[in-house]
Amino acid sequence: MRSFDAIVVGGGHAGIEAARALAARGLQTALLTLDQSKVGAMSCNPAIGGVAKSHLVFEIDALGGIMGRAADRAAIQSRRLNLSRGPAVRATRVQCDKEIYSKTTSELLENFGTLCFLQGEVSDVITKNHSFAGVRLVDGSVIEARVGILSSGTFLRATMFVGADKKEGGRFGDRAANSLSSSIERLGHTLKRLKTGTPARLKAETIRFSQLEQQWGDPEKRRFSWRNEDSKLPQICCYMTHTNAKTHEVIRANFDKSPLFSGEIQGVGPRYCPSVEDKVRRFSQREKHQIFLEPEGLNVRSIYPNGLSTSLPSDVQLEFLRTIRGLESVELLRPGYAVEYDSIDPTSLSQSLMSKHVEGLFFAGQINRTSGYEEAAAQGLWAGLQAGKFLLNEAFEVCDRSRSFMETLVDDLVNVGTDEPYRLFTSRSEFRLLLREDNAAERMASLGLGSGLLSPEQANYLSERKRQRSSLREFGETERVRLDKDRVVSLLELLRRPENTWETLSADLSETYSDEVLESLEVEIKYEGYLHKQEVDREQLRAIRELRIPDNMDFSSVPGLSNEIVEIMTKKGPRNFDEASRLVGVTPAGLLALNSFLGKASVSRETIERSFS
Amino acid sequence: MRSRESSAREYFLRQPETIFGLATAFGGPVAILRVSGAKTKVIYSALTGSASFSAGIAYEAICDGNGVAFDRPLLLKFEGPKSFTGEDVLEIQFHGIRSVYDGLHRELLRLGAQPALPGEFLFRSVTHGKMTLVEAEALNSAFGADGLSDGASRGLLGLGPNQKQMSEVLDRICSELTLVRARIEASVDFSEFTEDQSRDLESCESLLDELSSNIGSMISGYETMRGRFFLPTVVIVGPPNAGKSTLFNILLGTDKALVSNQPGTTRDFIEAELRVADGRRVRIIDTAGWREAESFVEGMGIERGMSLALEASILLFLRQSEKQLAKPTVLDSRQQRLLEEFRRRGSLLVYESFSSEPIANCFDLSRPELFHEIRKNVFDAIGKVIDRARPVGDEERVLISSERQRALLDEAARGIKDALSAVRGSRPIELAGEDIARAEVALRAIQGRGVGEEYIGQIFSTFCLGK
Repeated sequence: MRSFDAIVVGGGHAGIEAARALAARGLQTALLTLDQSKVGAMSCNPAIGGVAKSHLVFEIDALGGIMGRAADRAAIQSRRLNLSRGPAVRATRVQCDKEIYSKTTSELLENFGTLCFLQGEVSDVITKNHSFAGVRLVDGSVIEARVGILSSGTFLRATMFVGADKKEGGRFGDRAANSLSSSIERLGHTLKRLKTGTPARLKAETIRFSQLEQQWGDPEKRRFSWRNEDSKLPQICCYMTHTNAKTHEVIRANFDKSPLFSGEIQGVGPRYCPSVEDKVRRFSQREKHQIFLEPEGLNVRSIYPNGLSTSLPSDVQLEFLRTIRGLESVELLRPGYAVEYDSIDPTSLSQSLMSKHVEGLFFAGQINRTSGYEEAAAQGLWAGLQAGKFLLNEAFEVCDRSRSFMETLVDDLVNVGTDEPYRLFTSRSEFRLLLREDNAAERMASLGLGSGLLSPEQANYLSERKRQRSSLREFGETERVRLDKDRVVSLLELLRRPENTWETLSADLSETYSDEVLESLEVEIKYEGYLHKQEVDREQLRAIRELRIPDNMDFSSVPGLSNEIVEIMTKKGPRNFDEASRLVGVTPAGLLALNSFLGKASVSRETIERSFS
Repeated sequence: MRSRESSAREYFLRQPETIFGLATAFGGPVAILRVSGAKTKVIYSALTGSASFSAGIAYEAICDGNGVAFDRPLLLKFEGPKSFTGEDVLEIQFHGIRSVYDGLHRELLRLGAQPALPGEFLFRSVTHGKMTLVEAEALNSAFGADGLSDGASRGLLGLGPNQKQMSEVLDRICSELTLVRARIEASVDFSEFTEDQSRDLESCESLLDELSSNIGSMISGYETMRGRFFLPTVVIVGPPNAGKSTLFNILLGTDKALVSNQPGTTRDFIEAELRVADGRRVRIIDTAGWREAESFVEGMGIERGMSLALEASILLFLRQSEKQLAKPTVLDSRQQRLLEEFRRRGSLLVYESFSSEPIANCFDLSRPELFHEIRKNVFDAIGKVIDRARPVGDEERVLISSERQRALLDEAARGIKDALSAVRGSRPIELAGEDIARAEVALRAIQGRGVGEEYIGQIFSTFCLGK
């Protein structure tokens, strides 16, 4: 029998970050996978980032995580998105060589002496007195640990569908984890079937790329990680094409063969990443849908047709693909498929992502009903961070929506919950002007440093960055520019004007200051008024959150609280006024009654009431 | 005035209380007092000695605690929720005698009922879903208004053909705003995959434009309407000893104002209601003459006149004919600005007095045989200004009825305007979502949704007592 501080089940994007966050604190951590060679596999599209998702990657990196660094090293195309829009929604998307990405994640993990890779399938979670004690594998062996993080992705009782063909497995060529589901259910978690899908992979040499519009990356590569490592890989282009009336016709004629429509698949799929048959059915008036052909790597001749996720039979897939310009004689490396899998109700988790039923048992990633690599990784890191604190008897970090998208995601999951695969959007945050890519390092700094997650080098980088920022601000404030014979203004004043940038004002700044520092300060100056408003909101939220509600509070003893509110509060057990105010059915009057009962008069009625609007 | 003192939240905290209030003015042969709340049945039994309270009419003696009867009123009983407040309601139609009222008041207090706060009956009616906030406000506006036309009062009472549309209109605007917001957010969050973004944003732009003009016409409709809530006011201003009070008396046809040839005779304002052309009613106000005050009291009078003039619908400026005067009338800059402002609005009437020549706008106020003609002349002029300023419109279509609603519509309009500028590229697009959300919050607040209880209480505390 082996014994660890923590055991992470599943080596996907969530498991990787969880294991790293634990190992970085010197905790003996086991990373248990079905197949060790698949650690860090990009099971679906060959890209990291995208709008809102890239914000997560920057936040993960700011906490010392793996994802950004691996993506930088595997980058074969990098693009900035939404550049014509405001600063909060600008984002980064990086195409990766899948093999290099996966290999890099393993290499980065291997650096940690306290991390141990194990292979095997869990059959049971072992608990003692409602606390996690370890796992039993299907071969009967037991691994002991005080903390378990379940990040098994789409593998729980997973079934893959290609047309009428049905096969157990969580990913093409892989097995499913069948026994763990019932073990989780026995612990008190309700399970729900969800569905996801992926398109066919195409043989590159059978595609007529010359007919298609190219899409190149930006000449200047944006990097996720503060380490600023270049992949030194050749940069590739993607190609654009479209479905057409013929494609839709083929798909429509074969609706009856799709397990999605036949009722074979019961699970709810990701609304924002629908299969192509779903798109054709739901948007029947659309004449075409855009398809991106994305290489999966430099050496693998595999093309990922983004936008064509499907579970139609292989022959139908081939038939509709061949109606598409450039794919007239395409051949498949493997067909697209749908996966149906078990997920848990994330509202059965606390804000640390620890189970409300089993102390020491954490859940992260797709198992919590999210979709996307980045969403999974962010949860993995958060769970790992909190699990580390749990093991070291430190207080859990309070989940702060106004600090990061990572925490917005976690907060949404555990407080609101979801019935379909959750995808992050910038619009999920009420503080999105404050939660930008360019200031992720500053936002996460104290969390990273305070949680012992950062290497000394990263800590140095942060203090250098801080120094640069204040020096640049001082320079901007003191440097005077003469506009005409009467008017002299500071450089910052000038920068405020829409037509100006650091570059137009002072060309040689980039020699002294890093691009990130220049960018974030420019944004802060230009959007100062807007940012200020959200900062005021944030302070208000903090004040409300400071109003703690004691554990095991007897709400029925609060005079003036309606029976309905007593019932809701008793059921949901809000820990502070912010959580309480977001419960459906709770009124400002109810909170005021609670507030006066608790004798905390520090927050005004206005503040409480405003938190409702 | 309790309304200023009472905390807005009291309305909610007092909900378990049983309240009572006089529903009619006191003085006629019958007065009506209403009781509403959980203790209504108990109170009824205590007053009448009858055990059962079922909806209907009773005619019984009411007694004090010692069993001594003090009136025999008509009693209308309503069982909640089938009552106007949604609670048990007792309506007592008693003899309009002070001692009976005092007795009732005393007994009700003794039996544990509380005098109602301003608007508290309406408040309960709204919280129990018997009436919407918007309907209650319209009612309140109607009660407070003295200048309503038949059509306008129908509108405010919810009897106009379009009245019920308020929540529909607001809901429709809200749902379209949500749609626009969703499109904008999608264009931001799915920028990689949406090709028709510019088309999407263009459609957002035209939709926002349309909503903005919808809200704009609701606001301007209200502006016109608000002018009709109250009687138009004609304020007579001018230098002292011009004959303002004389003219006032002539118009009224009585000697209400004290008249003398002493400058500064009128120290405070005097007002009266009168009917001008076509039977339209106006309020006419005579004010102290404009001059360097000779006493503190006169100065106060002049200041009051000035503030009345600022609020006037029509300014009637009367001065002596230049020919009569040794030195011409000199106005200070504030007075000039005032006249200029009313002239700009087309609401200024200028007259001269004591001319012996029969020229237009020039009256000899000393000859009673001319009074009829003077009255006709001034009434016609006032009538014309009113017609111009208050075009006859769709009076029954009162959509908004309070300054609160108007301020929220303004807020919504600002949010939409900001969103438009973001969609057009002059602000970061991601702000458009917040701008629209702001507008939606304001529109919901009009209907009392998504706002704190304190806020609702605040609205009702501005209502008059007894409603």
